[in-house]
Amino acid sequence: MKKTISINLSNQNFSIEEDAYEKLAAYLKSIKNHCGGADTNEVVADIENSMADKLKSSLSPYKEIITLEDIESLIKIMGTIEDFDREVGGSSEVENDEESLPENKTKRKLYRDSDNAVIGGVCSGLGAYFDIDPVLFRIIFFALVLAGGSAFPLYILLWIAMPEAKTAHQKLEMQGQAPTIAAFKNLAKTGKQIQDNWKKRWQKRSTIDKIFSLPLVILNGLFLTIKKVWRILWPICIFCIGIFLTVISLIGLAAISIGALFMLLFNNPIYKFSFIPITELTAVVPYTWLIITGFLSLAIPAILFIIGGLAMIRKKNFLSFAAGSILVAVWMISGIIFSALCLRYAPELKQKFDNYYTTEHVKQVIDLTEIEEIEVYGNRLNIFVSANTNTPPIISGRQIDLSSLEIKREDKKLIITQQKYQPEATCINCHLSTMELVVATSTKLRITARDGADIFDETAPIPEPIIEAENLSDYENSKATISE
Amino acid sequence: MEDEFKKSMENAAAQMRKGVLEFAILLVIAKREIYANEIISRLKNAKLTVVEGTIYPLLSRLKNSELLDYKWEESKSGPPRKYYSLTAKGRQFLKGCEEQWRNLESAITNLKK
Repeated sequence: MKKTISINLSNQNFSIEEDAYEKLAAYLKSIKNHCGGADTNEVVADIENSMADKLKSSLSPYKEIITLEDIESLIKIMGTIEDFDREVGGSSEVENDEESLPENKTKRKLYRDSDNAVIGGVCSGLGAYFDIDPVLFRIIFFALVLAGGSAFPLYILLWIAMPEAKTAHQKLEMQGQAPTIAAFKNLAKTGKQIQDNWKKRWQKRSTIDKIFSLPLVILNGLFLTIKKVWRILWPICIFCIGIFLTVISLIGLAAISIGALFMLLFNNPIYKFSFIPITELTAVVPYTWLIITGFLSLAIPAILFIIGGLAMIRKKNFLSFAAGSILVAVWMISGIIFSALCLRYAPELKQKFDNYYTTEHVKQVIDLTEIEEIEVYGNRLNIFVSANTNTPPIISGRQIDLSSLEIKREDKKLIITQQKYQPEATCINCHLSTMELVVATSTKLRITARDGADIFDETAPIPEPIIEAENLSDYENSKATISE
Repeated sequence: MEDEFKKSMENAAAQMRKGVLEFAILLVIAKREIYANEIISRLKNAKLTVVEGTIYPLLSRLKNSELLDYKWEESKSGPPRKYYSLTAKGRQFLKGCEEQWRNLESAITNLKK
């Protein structure tokens, strides 16, 4: 099976196979370029007309398509431009060429001449442009390099600025030749000899040229080596980065998805956050919207990174410009909505936290009548001995924390013990925090802190601590004991 | 060596053909109004080998020097065709050619003796 193209040849419609079309188009173009006179169009039209006539007669209900063989045999009959030259041009060719040479010269264009390059073909390109031996430019560059290296960045700049003459057409432009068939043929002939034939090129150069080219040649060798190594290493680097990026992004995307799903599905009062049932928090905000926009603003970059990573591995771009634009647009919109929602509801959430009955900050006055000694156990308890004598003895902290305290009276002794806390399985961020016991100095008390409780005494600048420790670790736990 | 000889022989033949091609075409057209493909087949029948594509620049040149004229005619199959005919100038030119040809012919026969 082959693809066919529908063409108009001399106002006749033909279905023609793709390769045959290419051949035919190239042939007609070569004739057009070859004739190059005032009546070109007429001649080409005549030839097209004749070809159409012949092609039409070769078709039948059993053969509807023009194939490459048809075109090839047709071209054989019609003759190539070489035949034209021999049969028509002939003796007039020489004088014709002489005549047409000035016409064929067009304005030169500045390209890098990589066929005659030492490094990047800048000098040879300049030489071709100004029609001067490139050795002159090499001497100038060499002198400038010796004079202080200013030529090096200039060379790099020119290298970047001057496009390389890659196609035959560009090479002709570089030499200021009109793109005629003859010029192309000539170029193909000389180009083949020059191409990749360093030694021949080298021998072609004059001695002066060789001497001045030498540093450039050395630089070139260095450059080529770096280029070779880089060419090997670069794909490996890209591949590794691609794999890394893809794997990391996949893990990230999975985590984000599972997280978002969990947050949507487990919106249930038994789950708590800082002792507050999640449902009470989510009731405050447009929860679903927050999750969706939050998910999108995290997942889309992950998806883009995965696609980017895959593109690096497969060396193929999977994302069309349109799809990419849509993804980025969705990402931006969801990001903006998510941020706006966060900013809008953050104060309300904070208020919710502050006012929730278990997490609310409360103060509790302790009755210290007839109490002479206080013993405090637990690392979440800080004791402040206040210089203000009017302060009533107060214990303060979150409701939930205070409720975990056991306060016991034993004769004239008050024992405050922090209960062991068993965290709930369905509670996130549910840890107890510190409480403060504030006692005025006026109350003559003996306070003992144990199990990591700390005492801060405002009144005693440098207290001589009485250490009551059974062993060293105990001492470290209950740093000091102060007696009044 | 043989290749070179073959090449120069071919070249000589091509040069000769080229010299008479214009004359031959004018002769064919002089008989009756005729279109390009028919001209070619008549030339071929007369054993004058010709690269078909070369006919068209030639016809165009002859037309430009007002030796030929043409008119379009519909074809039963394919595109319409250009039917060529000689102009008065063309007829005159052909006469000149015929005279030149006779001269050439006698010159060659003379030389061959």
